[in-house]
Amino acid sequence: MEAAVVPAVDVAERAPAAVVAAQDITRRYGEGDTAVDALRGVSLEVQREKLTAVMGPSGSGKSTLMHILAALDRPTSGSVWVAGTKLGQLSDNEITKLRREHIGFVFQFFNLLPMLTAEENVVLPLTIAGEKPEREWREQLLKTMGLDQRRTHRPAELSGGQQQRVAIARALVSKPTVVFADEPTGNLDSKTGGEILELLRNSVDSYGQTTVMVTHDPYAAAIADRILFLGDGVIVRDMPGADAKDVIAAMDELSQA
Amino acid sequence: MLGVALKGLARRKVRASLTAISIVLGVSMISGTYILTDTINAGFHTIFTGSYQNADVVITGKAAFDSANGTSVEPPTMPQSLLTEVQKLPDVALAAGSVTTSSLKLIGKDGKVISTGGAPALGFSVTPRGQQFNPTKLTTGSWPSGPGQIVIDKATASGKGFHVGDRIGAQAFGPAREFAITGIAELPNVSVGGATFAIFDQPTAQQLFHKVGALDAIRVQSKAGIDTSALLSQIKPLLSDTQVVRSGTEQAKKDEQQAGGFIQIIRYALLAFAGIALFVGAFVIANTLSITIAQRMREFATLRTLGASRRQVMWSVVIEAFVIGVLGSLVGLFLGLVLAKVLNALFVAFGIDLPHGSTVFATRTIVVSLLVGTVVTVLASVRPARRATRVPPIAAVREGSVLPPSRFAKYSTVTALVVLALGIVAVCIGTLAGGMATGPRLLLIGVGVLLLFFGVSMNAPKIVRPLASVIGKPAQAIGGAPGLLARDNATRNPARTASTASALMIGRDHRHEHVHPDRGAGGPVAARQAGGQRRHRHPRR
Repeated sequence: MEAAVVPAVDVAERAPAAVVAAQDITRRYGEGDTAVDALRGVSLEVQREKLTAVMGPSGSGKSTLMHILAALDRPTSGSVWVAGTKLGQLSDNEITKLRREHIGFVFQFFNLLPMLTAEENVVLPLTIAGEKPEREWREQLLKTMGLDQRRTHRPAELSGGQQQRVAIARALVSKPTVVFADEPTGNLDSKTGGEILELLRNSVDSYGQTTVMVTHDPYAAAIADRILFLGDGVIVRDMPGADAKDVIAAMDELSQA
Repeated sequence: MLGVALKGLARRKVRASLTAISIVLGVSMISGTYILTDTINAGFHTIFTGSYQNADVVITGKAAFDSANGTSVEPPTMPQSLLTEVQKLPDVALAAGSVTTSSLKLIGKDGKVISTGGAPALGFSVTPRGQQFNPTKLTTGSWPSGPGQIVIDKATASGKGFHVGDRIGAQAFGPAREFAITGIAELPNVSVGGATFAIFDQPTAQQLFHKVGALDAIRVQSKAGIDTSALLSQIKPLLSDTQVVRSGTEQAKKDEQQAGGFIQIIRYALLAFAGIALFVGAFVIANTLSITIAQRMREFATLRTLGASRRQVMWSVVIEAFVIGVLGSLVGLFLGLVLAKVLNALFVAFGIDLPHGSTVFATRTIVVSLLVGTVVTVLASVRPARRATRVPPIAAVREGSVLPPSRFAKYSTVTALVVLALGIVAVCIGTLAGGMATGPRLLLIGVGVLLLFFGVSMNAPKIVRPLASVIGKPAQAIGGAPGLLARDNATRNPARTASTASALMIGRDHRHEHVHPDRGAGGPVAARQAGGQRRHRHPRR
């Protein structure tokens, strides 16, 4: 009995090798009778240089999970590691440093700064960190994202798809350890969404960019190397990459269970 | 980051300039006050230095005491014989006496005394040999040289339609007498304001001013190469206790000080208004910035997710305020030039027409205006800037996030009540307590009013709930569900309601701005549609 307890403690204290890891995290909103458990004990490890999709119906806790993994929110209990650093004990400044060095974001609503041009938005994370972008890398990103002709346009002058491409370039510009994409196609039509998914897939294949994507769209999940299904605050299925048909089938299966 | 802050400011030009207006007004009061009072002072300076031009030393009567408000009691005259003695001194090149009065009324063609609106109605004498001491210049005609002759000032002549050869009535202490105008004179380079002056030859003036055989001042010019101090020591033994001799520049300075006391009062009164204007301005700025920050929460949160530190977020707000402050102060500084003219016109309208020459735009005016305007704006931005640092990064992905309370929030109720109570106590003591000097009393009332101001605004969020439930009752009765919604919305975030109310109080509509952060980016409508899947995370709403 005793021997079984010791390694369990050991695992919780040792930083995992994965780029992002979660150990038994829970998240409770509210107190007392009205309390709601959005996450009820989730453990996972995100694989390096892979695209991981987190799937689940509304209210499954997938967005909460992503916010906690990305250090936007704190778990009620449990531990999170990003790039080998345990988040729980970090000060605000340490988390800021961690975001600069290790985390990129792609938002559902793009979150571009309206007063900056496309190019300025792309290099903003470096500007904030007080660094100069490498010219080659910046040019390559702008070209890959098809923004070459749009670099002086402001967000208001860009289509939704173009704005999301700016956002992806912005997430990649600092070569973060992990990019978190929160419903990246949720605010786009399916054709534009498809183009965006292709760019995300390419960034994993070409640059080895570790990416975690939260989505409720089976077609989006279908580009992933691994799909985690969330239901009622726990991981209900861990599935290797599959096409949309299989993803839909898996969803049906889970909703009937 | 600096670039980001400045570009953000450039995008909110209209709001920024509205914010700046409050600082523009306060600063223009400061700069206008300085410009006006400096210009008036310079006018006096020109007049007084002019009146002792070419005089190395000046002998005047010495008043037994100065009256409390800085204007001196009219000094005693000196006998005309003193002039003869001074003229006999070996080092004296030239000495001339004069008599003056500040109550020589000129009578207009309508038979009524020409009003000076409280300014002095000057009368003085000239002598042929004392011409080089004469500060006035003839514009036309000749100097008076007989009992029935007078020279009047150009402003009165042109204003009341008098010409050389006309007759004009003048009255000092006796009955009015008629004089023939032999010339029109002016003080070069300066306006004497509302004052009038009339010039007579010496015997006429002495008789008219009831100073026969007496003089008010003796101006002395030394021979070439003679030191002023040597001249002073030669003259001193000739004087009695009621006479005093000073160098010309010293005498001019003394006269200026007396006039300056009055200008100083005007200056402080106007600066006090400027202070109030700036205080209110600071409040408006703090409020406007707070509202802006509430609307830009997603922008700040996005910056945080991209790696901006709290410090960077705070500085971006402070820098914005700094730029608004500098630009507002610059505009205010130059608006002060206009305001100085307006204030002067107002003074004239109220019958206070003061001397002034060309406008004085001193370095001090520029430095003080820019410094005060900028510092006040930056200080006003500190609280909103600190608020901005509390925007959580997660607000980047959530609509309608609420700022977490500050570290000091738990003391806010007590602080607000204490501030309010202190304000009331200070004002009560200041107004009601007996046996207090004017200075401390005014200070106490001033501080009390400031505390009251802060106290009321700090307590405002707390009375929103009870107030809204009272006002909301009829709304619910009449409006039904919408009325109920309105009431609950007003009470949901009392601080927001209070700050919106104060924004309305200062007459600003910011609703249309609310859409901008999301323009072209899906917008709040899309966010709300997507809100369904978020319900789980916000069970309380």
